[in-house]
Amino acid sequence: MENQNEKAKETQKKTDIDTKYWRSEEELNAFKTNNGVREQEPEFLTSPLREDEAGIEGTGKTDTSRREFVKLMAASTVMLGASACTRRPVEKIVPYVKKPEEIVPGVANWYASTCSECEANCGIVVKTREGRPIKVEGNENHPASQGGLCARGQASILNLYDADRLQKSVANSRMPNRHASATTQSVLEKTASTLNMLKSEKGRVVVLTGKNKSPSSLKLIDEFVKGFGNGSSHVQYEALNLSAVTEASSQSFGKAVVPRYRFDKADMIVTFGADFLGTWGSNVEYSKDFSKKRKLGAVGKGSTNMSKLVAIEPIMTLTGSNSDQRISIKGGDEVRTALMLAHELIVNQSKSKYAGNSQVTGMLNKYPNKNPELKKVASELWENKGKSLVLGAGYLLSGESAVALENVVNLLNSALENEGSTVDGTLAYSTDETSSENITKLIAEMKSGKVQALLMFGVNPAYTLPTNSGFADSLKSVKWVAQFSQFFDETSKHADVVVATNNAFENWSDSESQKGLFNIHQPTISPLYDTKSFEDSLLALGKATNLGGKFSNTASFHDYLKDSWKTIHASHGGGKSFNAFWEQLLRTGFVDTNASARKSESTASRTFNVNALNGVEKSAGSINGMSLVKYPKVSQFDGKNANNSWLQEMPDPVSKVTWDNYACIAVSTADKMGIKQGDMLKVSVGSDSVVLPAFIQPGTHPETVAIAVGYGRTSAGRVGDSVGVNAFHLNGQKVEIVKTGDTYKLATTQMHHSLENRPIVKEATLKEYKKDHHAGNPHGPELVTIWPEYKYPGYKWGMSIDLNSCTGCGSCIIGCQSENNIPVVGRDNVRASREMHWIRIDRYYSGEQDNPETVHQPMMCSQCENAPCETVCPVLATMHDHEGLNQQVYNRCVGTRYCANNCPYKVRRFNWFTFTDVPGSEKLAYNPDITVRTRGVMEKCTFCIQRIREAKDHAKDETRAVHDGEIKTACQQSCPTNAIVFGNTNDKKSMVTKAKTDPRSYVALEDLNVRPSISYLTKIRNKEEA
Amino acid sequence: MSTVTSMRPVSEMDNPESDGVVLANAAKILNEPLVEPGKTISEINDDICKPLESFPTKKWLIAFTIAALVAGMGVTLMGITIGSGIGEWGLNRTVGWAFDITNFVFWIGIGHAGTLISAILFLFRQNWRTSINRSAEAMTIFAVMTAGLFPLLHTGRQWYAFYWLFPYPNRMDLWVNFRSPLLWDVFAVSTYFTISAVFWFIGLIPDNATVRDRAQNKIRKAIYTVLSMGWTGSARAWIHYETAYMLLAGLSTPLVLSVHSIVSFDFAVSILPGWHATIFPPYFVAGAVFSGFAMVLTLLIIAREVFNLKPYIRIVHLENMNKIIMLTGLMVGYAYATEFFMAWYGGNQYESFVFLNRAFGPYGWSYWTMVTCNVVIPQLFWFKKVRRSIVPMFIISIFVNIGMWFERFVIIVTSLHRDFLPSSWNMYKPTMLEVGILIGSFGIFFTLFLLFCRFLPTIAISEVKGVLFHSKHKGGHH
Repeated sequence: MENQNEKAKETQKKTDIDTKYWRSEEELNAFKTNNGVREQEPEFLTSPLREDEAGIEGTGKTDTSRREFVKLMAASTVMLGASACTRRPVEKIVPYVKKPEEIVPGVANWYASTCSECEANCGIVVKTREGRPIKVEGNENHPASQGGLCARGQASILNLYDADRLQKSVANSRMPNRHASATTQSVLEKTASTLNMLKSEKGRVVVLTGKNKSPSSLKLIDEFVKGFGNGSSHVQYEALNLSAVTEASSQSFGKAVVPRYRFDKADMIVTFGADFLGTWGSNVEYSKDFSKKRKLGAVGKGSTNMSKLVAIEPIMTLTGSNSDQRISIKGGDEVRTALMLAHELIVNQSKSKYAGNSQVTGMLNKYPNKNPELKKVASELWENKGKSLVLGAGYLLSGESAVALENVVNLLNSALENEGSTVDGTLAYSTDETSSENITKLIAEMKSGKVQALLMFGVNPAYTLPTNSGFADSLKSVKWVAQFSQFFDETSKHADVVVATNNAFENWSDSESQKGLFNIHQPTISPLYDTKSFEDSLLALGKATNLGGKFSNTASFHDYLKDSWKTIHASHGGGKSFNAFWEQLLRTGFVDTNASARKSESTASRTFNVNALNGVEKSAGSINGMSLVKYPKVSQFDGKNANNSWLQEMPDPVSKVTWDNYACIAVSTADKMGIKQGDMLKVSVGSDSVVLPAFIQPGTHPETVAIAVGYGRTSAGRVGDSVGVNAFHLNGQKVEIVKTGDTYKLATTQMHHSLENRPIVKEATLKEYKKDHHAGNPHGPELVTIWPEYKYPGYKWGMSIDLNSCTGCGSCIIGCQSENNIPVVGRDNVRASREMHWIRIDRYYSGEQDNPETVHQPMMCSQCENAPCETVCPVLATMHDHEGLNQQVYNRCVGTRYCANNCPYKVRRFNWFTFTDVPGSEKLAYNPDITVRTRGVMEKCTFCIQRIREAKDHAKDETRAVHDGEIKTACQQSCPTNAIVFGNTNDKKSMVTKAKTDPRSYVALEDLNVRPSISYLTKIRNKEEA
Repeated sequence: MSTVTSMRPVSEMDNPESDGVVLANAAKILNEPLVEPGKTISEINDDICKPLESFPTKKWLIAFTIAALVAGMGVTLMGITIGSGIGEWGLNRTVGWAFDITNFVFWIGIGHAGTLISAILFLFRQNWRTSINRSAEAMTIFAVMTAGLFPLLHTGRQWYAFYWLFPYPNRMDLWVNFRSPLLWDVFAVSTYFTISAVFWFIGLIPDNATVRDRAQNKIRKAIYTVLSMGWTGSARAWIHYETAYMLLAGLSTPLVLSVHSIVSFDFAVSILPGWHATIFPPYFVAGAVFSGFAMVLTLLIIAREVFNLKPYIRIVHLENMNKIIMLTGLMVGYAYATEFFMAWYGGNQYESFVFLNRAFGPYGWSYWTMVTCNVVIPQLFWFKKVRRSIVPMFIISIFVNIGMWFERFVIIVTSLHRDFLPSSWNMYKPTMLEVGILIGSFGIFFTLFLLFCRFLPTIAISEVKGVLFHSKHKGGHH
């Protein structure tokens, strides 16, 4: 013992001596301050001393020390042993003691409602099972969206179950060390008492919301701010808005509206970047209408003619990728190009009533057109006058130049006599303004102390405004900032309280999406957490602050809403009692008070005021050097849905990149600058800069850099944080790019972009098609098989996809994901090409690299008759059924992946890991009709077999066969262009049989003779030569 | 009588006709003794049993430790794969197989030489096989065991795959798919393993008896008594034994052709360009023999060093194997050329693309590695000097092993990574885990082989004794 102690002392001494040596001055100072104890770098510490380290930064891995490892091993061994001895806990399923009348277990209830994702307000129906909403679909009766729904609308259901939603309100959120969750009640009380105080001090209250198209909500907010008086007001702000259109409309026509564009009547469409098929405006409605003019043959009531779409744009938008002719221009040159087009039409070709207007021609003469392509566009436009449509730059351009462009566009549409036919200014799509000027003004007011209380709802200015906007600072001068939000977002930490609000699926609301088109938003589930809708909170605050009026006697916004609908009932009740009207409304989801006008061929045209062109010339210059274009992506839009994993993993329809944004540059620019895919670039605009990976995007103008907004959220939640960079921070158009030398691997789902002359996508020009309907689709040799053919005695399910209608928007991907419980795999697994989507959209380029032609082809399991996958599975986990379906038996699958190797369409998806381990609340979004697949099994599209089953059961109950069109697969239902037709091919009269017998019908890789049940209709391009 | 080279010391000795054939063969093939001249029967016993009866040598201990550690690593990595998922590997939606099936086909191929040497060369009376057949057979068995791990390991749910692939009766009426080449594999490989193991064990019986008879230790005696199955060495026992051996040799012979033919069906029966080819069965068999011989060569060159077996495994044995390597290497090279010719002549655009992509695409390096190792380098064996020098042939054998591994990699990965739809084209990159499992599989194989060397006679004592007479005779003339 004695000896050992001695030894220990000795060692102690040695280390003591050791610590007196120092290597640098810093170290010497460090000892002194630390009483002679050496502070070691972590890598020099023994593992036990490193235990308190959280993990290795950046890798996401926990650095488990040896001791911890041993501890864990011991503990897990004990637990394994112990758990083996205990019984499994008994899980009881509690049946309804008193079954709610409307709920039948296993049978879905559908509720009509309206999508709240963007200002288009598409009609939806919400599928609920046992009281929980699980799927959103388009409402087929809705006059605008006509049954389609975009990817964001489909994915909105996941937001309801988002595990990162605020489950309680937050108090003291401005104080980082003191903020804490609190009940919504208490936070509202606190807000009310402050407002009471401010009211007595004659303070001014500003309600800042996003685009609000709810008449009831607008009325309530109005009453609220009026109740406060003292200049209290309601300000609307959206980062991506249509204010350029409204402003130009007011300059050109004297009334600020967003007109209703009638794509279903347009034979010739020219867009200067407005991505009307992807993100811009009411894109589902536009897509539905646009596709009506693109249907040919059997799917188009025998039509042999179609519209022509010309895209004049700096970046490859989804719309541009669907164009028949695409003219690549530099970002910022839109106004000049539009003027050149006007010059060509009005001056060179002296067409239209403005040809003799010297004010117009005088101005246009400064922008002579020498581009033969524009010349042709102009003459074609004139040929289609009254049936053509010219659009602006959409979200690609902002500020003055966007307004200028819209003014030129208004001139063109007026000159082409489109006003009143394809451009309807009477049933305006929207009249409100949400321009960024509003918020700039508000910030100035707040800074100067003119605002005492700010109530924010549906906005996130701390994220969407440029860094130099001063928004956060200005809030410091506001006494009480209350945010009403579902998330603790970037703006929340600048607010005094964050009141947790309901999700749209828990809320009552309404909207007027177009003039006279009133939609109802009804909840489909009670609030999951301690949350309150914004309007209910306003009512509560109004009551507590004694604003009087409706505030004193309205119990809930539901009552308020019903009350305000009484005016609509009065004019459009059709003689029904209000209750019957209301009941009816909840079933239909909308009331169209202008139904007949909406269908009429022509409407009143507006008169163009040529003075609107006065301010145009300022914006007609060109940027010297590279220009920056900021654009929204179909999946992310303005970044509100950053925490939605379905949307983050949805491949961009054009680039096929998931999970990140990037700087798009042209192929030729990349070659010139020596930039490779994934090289990190520093993109600077003035003093602001971001660093992000380069993506070589064919179709980008060589002098343009494009970055998607909606990324780079810092307080979105576990999914959305630190995904990409925030392009909202870049303010300006002149841009410089420099390689940083680092590289980054983008998670893309498609690496090769050429068809390699394979018979996968077939196409022809319209001219060829008119001559021969088999154009581009010649008869192949007769194929024989040595196997006995399958008999399909009853139904034989098949599908036809019209490549001429499909725009590649990706709604079907999310629709399928929601319907079939398709897991999200995360960025790393997408990088490793392990995305699970059952339906994907292949996109191929051809022609010039800097301005290619594009095709989109949806690809999912083709349910082959001679399925190569079926023969190779050793355990019979995939087999053919008597209705032509290729079934996948998850329970039986052992995961050899042989079927996937042998699948020529590569549509089978393997569960490489347990991908279904999502937070508990998100499991509620699962469709109970579909098995959740475990690790190690193969899965694929089943043609929504659960829907087939349901329809067959239903038909059997009624002792009849399934009607044609009764079954709609999830992809088909969500399609905004009705490109997908599904049905029974044994029925000679069915739509799908008709589509399959069209001369344009072909199957991909026909010579393999696998006989897929999915056929495609050739893509026809409306252009002269092939 | 003393010039008889047959391994049958009793039964066929009186048959002058058979002796004549054998003699003629011996004259043709064996220009030099198969055992070092001057060895006596008891010396043979002593030499071959020495590693079994003495304390393991330092060389063995070092080799075994390394092999066992590598095997341990392999097993751990396999455990991680099973525990967490196949996603630990570099596979993706396009390339569903890569290292896993490459390793499987590689190891199955390695196993081929054993059966070929023990069965076919036996039936053809190639007496030089006597010194090498035992270890070649052992190699076969261990290679098949190693190979067998991969089809199981590569599945997504190994815990079901290990029995669901067998057609066992069950109350769910679940059955297997007899149209699937993977199922054929299950039968082919398990049959092959069973027959090879039985064949090997039968061959071991007389030698186990020798070890038993020499045993000093009771436990040792007991174990080898069981392993020698009551062998007495009587004439009757020899007659039965030889008949059984002959029958098994006959049974094994078609397996040499069938196993790798069936393994090749995994590819040939699919519709994938680059896999779907009728040349695959003979091409795979030739390749298997090629790689198997290269592996036997590698092992024997090491074994004769480590266990002092140079008197028994002589240059002549190695040279004969080199000739076979050269022959099969040419066959494999011919197959490569034929594939290209057919790709061009067939006029199928997918097929021609796959082959161009194979040679000049992103995995071109692996293709040219394969061609260099399998076709170019073995040509050195045209030179007798190379054929008979240990160092060059050892190096060449390693090259062939590498080349044949790459052949399977090339076939599997280059065909899969760019098939019909360009949208799905993809690249495959192995993870460290997969590389570790490949290395670990060598560890498993060598561990088993080293254990075999330690506990069983590595050379067929009774058979070598048969060729000893001839050696003596021939030696006497020198």
